[in-house]
Amino acid sequence: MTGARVRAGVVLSVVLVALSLARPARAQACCTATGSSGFGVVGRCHFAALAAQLAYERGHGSFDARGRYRTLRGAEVDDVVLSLGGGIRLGTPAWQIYGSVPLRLQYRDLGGLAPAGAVGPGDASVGLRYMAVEDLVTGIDVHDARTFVPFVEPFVGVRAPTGRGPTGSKTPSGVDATGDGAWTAFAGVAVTKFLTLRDALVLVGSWGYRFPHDVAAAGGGARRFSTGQEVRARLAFVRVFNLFWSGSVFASVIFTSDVAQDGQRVPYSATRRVRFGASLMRYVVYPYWKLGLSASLDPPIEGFGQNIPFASASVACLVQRNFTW
Amino acid sequence: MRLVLVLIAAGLAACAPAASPPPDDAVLVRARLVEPGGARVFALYCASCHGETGNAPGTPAVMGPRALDDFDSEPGLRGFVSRRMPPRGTLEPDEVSAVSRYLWRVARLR
Repeated sequence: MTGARVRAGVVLSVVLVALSLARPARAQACCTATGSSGFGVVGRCHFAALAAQLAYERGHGSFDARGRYRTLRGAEVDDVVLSLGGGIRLGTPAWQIYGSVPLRLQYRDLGGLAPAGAVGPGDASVGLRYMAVEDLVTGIDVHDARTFVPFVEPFVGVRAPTGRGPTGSKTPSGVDATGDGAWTAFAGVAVTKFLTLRDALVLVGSWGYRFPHDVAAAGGGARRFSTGQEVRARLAFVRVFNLFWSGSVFASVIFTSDVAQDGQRVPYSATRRVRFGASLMRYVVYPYWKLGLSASLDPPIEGFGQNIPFASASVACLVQRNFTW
Repeated sequence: MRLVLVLIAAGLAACAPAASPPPDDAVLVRARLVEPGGARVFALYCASCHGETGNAPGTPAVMGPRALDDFDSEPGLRGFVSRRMPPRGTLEPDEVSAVSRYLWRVARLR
């Protein structure tokens, strides 16, 4: 491609973006913010949604049991994840059921082991969500108590071990481990508060119980393996620029408790994963089709992870089809 | 070359359905506080097509300057909503009244 063509492409892109931003359209705020609290979740003003996301993750290091970070040297860890998800309201605007299924393509070149790749499903999840309290979406006015009320959406669900767990891996590198290996039941709440007409804070917290499962022991028989409990939290700031564009920045943390084998707790096996990211969304065919780009990172900083074999950076693109009443 | 590209870009933008001007933020806030029930019905059943600010491209503007000038009264608007909106499904009579009051409030406050 010649330099002139590159410059022309840049000019064209800038003009298109500028024209798009200049349209006199205002925020589609609450649909965007309430739908941003999870993949496949239906936004408040929609009836249903289908979404597909393609993500590329590249490992850059690992965290040990004491939270110390080590860069991956002489190793390559690459994952491509295609996630399909969606949700639908159950006859009433308050209730929705939603879920997602990932398909993972994983590659490991771990120095000393033969490079290997594997494809398999990840863990599928399904959830039920209820909008218990609704924000007026006016922004906060200190003189009116009603404007402090947020959206409050409790949810429950299960994650199924449709992916192969680490204990079921048949390869030395564990490249074929695409899931947790255990059923997980989870419950949580998503709280969305509009600080202004276009700016929202979204806080999602959940607790999960990972059911014990049997793992074949090396000398025959089976061992009862429990991967413990899980706590997740995610805080996002969402800015709806106009009817078409929105963006967000977020931080998330996932804790899992110590593993237990045959009822005996394994010390120093708890995990912690802190992640930061940002996303940009754009309606391409309003209100039906939406495209998104996001990037996220496990920061390579001591203490931001614990027992994470592959800390990673990822980029993802998303396409979502919304359905209206 | 660059001029041609700019013209193409402008042409594409012109072909795309443009949104009409939205109502003022202050108007929206006041209307939502005065008619919270109607604002909720609008957000749930109408905003997906009309946009939360009632001016989405590709649908008739229901908020903003001159948006409801075809209606001479709130009962007239209510009758239209009750007969025609939303295109699929129906609203309960109290929801029709609430959303009509909300839209009329936005129109009167502008």
